[in-house]
Amino acid sequence: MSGNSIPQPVASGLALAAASQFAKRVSGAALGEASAGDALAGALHVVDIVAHVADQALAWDTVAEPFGTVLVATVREGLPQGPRS
Amino acid sequence: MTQHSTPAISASLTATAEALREGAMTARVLTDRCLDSAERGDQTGFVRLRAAQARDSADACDAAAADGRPGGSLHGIPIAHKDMFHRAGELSECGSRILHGFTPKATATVLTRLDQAGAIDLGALHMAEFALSPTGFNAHLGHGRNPWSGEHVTGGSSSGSGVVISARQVCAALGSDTGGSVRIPAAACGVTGLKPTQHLVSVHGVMPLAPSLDCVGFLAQTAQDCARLLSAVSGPDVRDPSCIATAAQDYESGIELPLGADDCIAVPDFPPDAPLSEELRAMLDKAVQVLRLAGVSVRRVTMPQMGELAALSSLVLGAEAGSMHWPWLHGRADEYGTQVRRRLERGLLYPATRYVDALRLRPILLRRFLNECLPGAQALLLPVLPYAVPRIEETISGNDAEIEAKFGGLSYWTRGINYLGLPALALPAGFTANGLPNGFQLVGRPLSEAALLRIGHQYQRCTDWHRRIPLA
Repeated sequence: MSGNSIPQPVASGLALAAASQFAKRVSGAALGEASAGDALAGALHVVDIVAHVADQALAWDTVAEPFGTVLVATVREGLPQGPRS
Repeated sequence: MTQHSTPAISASLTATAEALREGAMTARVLTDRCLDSAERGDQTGFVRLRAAQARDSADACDAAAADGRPGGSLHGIPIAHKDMFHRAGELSECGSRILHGFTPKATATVLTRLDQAGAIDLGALHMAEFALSPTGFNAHLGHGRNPWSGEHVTGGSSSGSGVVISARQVCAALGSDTGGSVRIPAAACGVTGLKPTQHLVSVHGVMPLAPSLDCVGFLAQTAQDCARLLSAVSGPDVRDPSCIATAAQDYESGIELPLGADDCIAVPDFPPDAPLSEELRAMLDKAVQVLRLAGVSVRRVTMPQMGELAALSSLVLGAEAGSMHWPWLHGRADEYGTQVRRRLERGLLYPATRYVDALRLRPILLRRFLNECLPGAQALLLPVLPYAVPRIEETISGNDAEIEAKFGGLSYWTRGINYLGLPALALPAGFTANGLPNGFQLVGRPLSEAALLRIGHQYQRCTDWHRRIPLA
């Protein structure tokens, strides 16, 4: 899931250019160079952490579950005689 | 300390309700006192008062009482709401320029239920723009100013909610918590704050920020107050399909049961490099001692991976808030405050695939957290803030990246709990050297609000931090 075959400096440059264009298109004004860089750096940092956790914890067939259902299920799972899902 | 007008409220919500029930005062007298205090107040609490409507409601309460008609659990109790809870035909501006003048057509379910319980809604409260700041800063309305010190932040985004409870202008304040926005101002203002289980309380008629994380919550003086408020709004709502409540519940019964051998809290071994000041470590240690004396047993656990959970929360929030705000970011971007705009634009950069990963991970990480951090315990004790309440100046100095890092730091201990969907009760636990209050949070298993509130109530029977008020 993680990692790519594009050299990192090139990827960062491409990503920065894409982010600036994308932000300009969406917000109607270009992000300043410094802001775009900061925004991208911040987003990449978060994405890297999520990618790391996902690599470790997700199986190929793990699917997203309705979270309200999950919360209720854990209550049943916590009961001494309750069924385990 | 800041000079304040005489507090309108001297007792907790539940004590005030008792006084009203016994006829010690009328709802109208109390409402007038609260409105006078709000109008004279020098803090950034209220943005709009609904004085005429409040007085009419108070008169109706008093008339019912005079006729011998039974009142609801919140009969005559003055409350206020963060300016993102909609009332049909009344302004709901969400701390923004973009929604300036917005008048919704429908009333939030929680407001309707509080009305039905007899509460008197005095008006709308200051908040961070679109609920997107943990400091309480609002570029359009000005900073939220802490009643304990006008130079310090209130915490956010339910900034006004923290202010009006701390300043004793109302008995209860509605807030929202997507990443800590009830708990952070509760800790910073020295009051109690409850964030319920995700999807327990209806969010119909409440401004959405990140629907997977948004929670309606309360700020009040005590845990028992929060219990009564939660009871009043609990129950299913056909207008909110995500609401998992199957029946209304009484969260106050059983709150007086003493703690005993079956009651256990988990306390993490905070490593030296955990983002937690020495002052707050000492405060948490004292809180644990008090809880032991109150009868609870303590189990040490390894610290949860709060950094990872915080990142997952940030990604979900960014992606969902970005989606909600897309129409305005395209064409009205200049009407946002700079900090809020930057946070929203960052959310637009998150890949959809990673957002789906975050949703797929949620049940796995929730079960892992419950098994590792809450084995045989009703609650996990965590900080709310990583350090003492900062000065306003500290939160706005530096470049954009530095300011963003400070924001992330403030909500480090709270936003991962939103990702897990767990309930949390913030309790005041003392003061730091700068004279500002601070506290801790008890994080529970899903749908364990009654247990959290009971532990919190028993803690508050042994302490008086929740009774302190910022008098000159």
